[in-house]
Amino acid sequence: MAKAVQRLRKNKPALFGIIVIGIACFLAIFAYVLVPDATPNGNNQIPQIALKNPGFSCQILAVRKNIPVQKRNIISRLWQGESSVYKLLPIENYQILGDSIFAKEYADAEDYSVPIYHRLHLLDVVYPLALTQKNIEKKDKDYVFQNVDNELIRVVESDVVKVIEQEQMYTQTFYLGTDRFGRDMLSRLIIGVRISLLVGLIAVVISLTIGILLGAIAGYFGGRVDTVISFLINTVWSIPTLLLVFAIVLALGKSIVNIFIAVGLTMWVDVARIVRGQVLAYKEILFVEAARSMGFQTPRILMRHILPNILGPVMVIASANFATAILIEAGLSYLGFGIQPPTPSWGTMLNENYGYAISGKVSLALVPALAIALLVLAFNLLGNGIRDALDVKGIS
Amino acid sequence: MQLIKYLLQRILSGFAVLFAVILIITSIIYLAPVDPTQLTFGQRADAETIDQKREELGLDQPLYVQLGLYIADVMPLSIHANTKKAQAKYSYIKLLPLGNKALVLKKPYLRESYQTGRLVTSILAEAIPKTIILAFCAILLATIIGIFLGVIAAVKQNSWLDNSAVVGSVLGYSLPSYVTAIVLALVFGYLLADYTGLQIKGSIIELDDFGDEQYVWKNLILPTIALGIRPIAIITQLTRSAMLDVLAQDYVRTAKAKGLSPTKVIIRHAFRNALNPVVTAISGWFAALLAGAFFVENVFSFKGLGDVTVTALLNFDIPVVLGAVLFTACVFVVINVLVDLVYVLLDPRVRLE
Repeated sequence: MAKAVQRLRKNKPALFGIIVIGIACFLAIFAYVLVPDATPNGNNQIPQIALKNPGFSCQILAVRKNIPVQKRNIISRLWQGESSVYKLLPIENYQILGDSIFAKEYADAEDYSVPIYHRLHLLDVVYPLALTQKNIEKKDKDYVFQNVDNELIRVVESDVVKVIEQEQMYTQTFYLGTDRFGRDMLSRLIIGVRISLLVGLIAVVISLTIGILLGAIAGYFGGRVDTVISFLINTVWSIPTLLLVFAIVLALGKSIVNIFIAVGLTMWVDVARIVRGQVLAYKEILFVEAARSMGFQTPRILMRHILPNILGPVMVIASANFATAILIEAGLSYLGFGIQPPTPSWGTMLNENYGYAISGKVSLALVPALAIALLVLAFNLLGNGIRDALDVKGIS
Repeated sequence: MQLIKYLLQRILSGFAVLFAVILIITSIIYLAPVDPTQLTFGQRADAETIDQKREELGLDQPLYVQLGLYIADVMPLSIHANTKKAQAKYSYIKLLPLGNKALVLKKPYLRESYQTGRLVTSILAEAIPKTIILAFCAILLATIIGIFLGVIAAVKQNSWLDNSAVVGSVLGYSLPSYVTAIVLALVFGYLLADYTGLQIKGSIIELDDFGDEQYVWKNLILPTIALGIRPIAIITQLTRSAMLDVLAQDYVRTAKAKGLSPTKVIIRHAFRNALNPVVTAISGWFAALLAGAFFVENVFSFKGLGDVTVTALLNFDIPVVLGAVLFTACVFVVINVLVDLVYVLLDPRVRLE
C-alpha cells in the first residue's frame, strides 16, 4: 500500500488531478467566506450591470436596507451564506450636497437612454431607519434619528460622510463578468462546485453500497442468486444511463436529493459487475478456502478476506463513477432537468447563459463548461493514477 | 449447428432482457405525477371531455392495469377487443378469436403524443433516420482516427507521439459531449462563422423559404465532431493497449524474425488480434449514440431521437418518452447479440457456451 502511494505521488498527471480536487474541496467548504457575493446561492442581483464581460469593474455604492441586522451563527453563514443588509447600487459618479448624496446610476456606454440619478439621504445610506420616521432632526452639526429597532441615535454629520466615502463606496471588479441578472459569475462558479462534488460523493456512496453488496452476493454464492442478480445487472446495463436517470427524476420530481439518488441508482451496475467478477476469482483461491475450512462465517470471509483484496479495482471504478456523476448532473442541469435555479450548479449556469453566448458573451457559457471539463478530467486522472499505482488490469 | 443454438439462446435471453427493461422503465415512468389530460387540452376543457379522455387513456384504472394495457399495446402478439374500432386503431391481423376478444398480431402500437396528438411511431420514424446518420458518421470518424492513433502510439511506444496520444485521450475522454458541442458551436458556428460558413444550430433536414424539405449536409459536421471526440479517445486508448499486448507476444517476434516487413507484421499479424476489445468499444458506443445523443442533438437542435426525447421529457410527454426508451433498449439488445456474433466470427477461439 505504501508503495502504491509512492507510485501515485510520482505520477504527475494523477498529482495534478489530486491538486485540482483538493482545490475544489477547499473552495466548496469555504465557498461563502471566499466569494465576493456571499448571499445565499450567490444570488445578489444587480440588474444595471447585467451581462458584463470578465474583468468588468465599476464603482458601487452600498446602501443600507432599512432592515434590522440578521444574527446568524458562523456555521450557518459558512454553510448557507448570509443575505446582505446592503443594496448595491452601481454608480458612475456622485456628489454630496447638504444632507443628501446625488449619484448617477451606471449605464452602458452604448445606452443612450436618459441617465438615472438617485438622491439619497446620507443617513439612509448608512443606517437602517425606522419606517415610521417622518423627518430627521438636525441639531447643530449632528443628526438625531430613530433606527429600525426604534432606538434614538445621535451622530456627527462629518462621521456619516466619512463612513460613506471610506466604507460604503468601493470599486468592485467582476473577474468572470456577470450573468443576465447581474449576478457575479465568479461567486456562482465557486458556490456551484459544491453541487458537483456533492453529487459525485453521494452517487459514489450509493453505487458502491448497492454494487458491492449485490456483486459480492452474486459472485460468492453463485447459482440461482447469481442468475437473478446477473439478469438484473444485464437489464439495467441495457438501459442507457441518461434515460434511466431521466425516468427516475421524472418519477421522483426534480429536487436536489432526487437527482443525487437517481444518479447513484444508475451507476451501481458497473461496480456490481466488477465486484462479482473479482469475488468469483478470489473465492477459489487458497486463503479463502482456508478461512472457510476454519469455520468463519460468510460475512466475515467476504468482509475480512475478500473485500480488502478487491479494493484496488473498486477504487478505480469509484473514481471513474465520481467523474461520470459530475458529468451527468451537469448534463441534466444543462437540459433544465436537474438542479433548479437559483441554486448555482455548473450545468444550470450553462443552461442559463448559453443563449447569451450568441449575443457576444461567449465567456458566460465557456467558463462553466471548462470548469466541468476540468473537474471531470481531475477525477479521471486520479482514477488512472490509482489504476497504474495498484496495477489493476482490465478496467478502463 | 452449435452456432445456431448459441444464436437462438442469445436472442431468447435478449428478449427476456428487453421485456424486463420495458417493465422497469414503464413502471418508473408511470409513477410520475403527471396529468396527461392537462397536457392534451390545456386548462380550457370542460369536465366531461376530460373524463372521457381519462377513460380513453385508462387513467381511471389502478396503476398496474394501466401498465398492463400499455404493455399489451406494445407487444406484437397480444389480446385486444374484437371490434372494428380496435381493428382500426391497432390495424392488427386476427389470429384467434376469443369471444369478444381476439389474439392478434400487430405492429407495436406506441399511442399518441400528449402534446401534439400525433402517433408516436411517426414522430420516431421522422427522428430516427437523422440520429442513425449522425451516429454512423461519428462512429466512423472515431473508428478511423482512433485506430490510426492507437496503432501509431503502440508502434512508437514512449515516443512523443505516444505520450501525446495518451495525454490527449484522457483529455478527450474527460470532455463532456455538451461541453465539446457548445465550444464547437460557439467557435466554429458563431465566432468564425464567416470563415467556416457553418451554423450554430440546425438539422440535416431543414425547411427552406418555401416550406420544402432540404438536406443541409454541412449541419452534420460539428455534431459529428462533438459526438466523436470521446469515442476517439477511448478507441485510441484501447487500440494502443491491445496492440502493446499483442506486439509483446512470441508469434509477432517470429513473424519479424522470418523477415516480414514491419508494416506487414503490424497489419497482418498484430492488428487483427488486437481488434477484439476495440470492436466491443465501438459497438457499445454505436449503440449509445443510436440511443440519441441527447446533449449534442439538443445543443445543435438536430431534431433526432435525442432531441425529441429531451423535448418530450421537458414537456412530460410520456408516450413519446416511452417510445424512445423502448426503441433504444431494442437497439442495445440487438447490438449486443450482433457483437457476440462478430466475436465468434473474428476469433475462432471464443467458445460457444
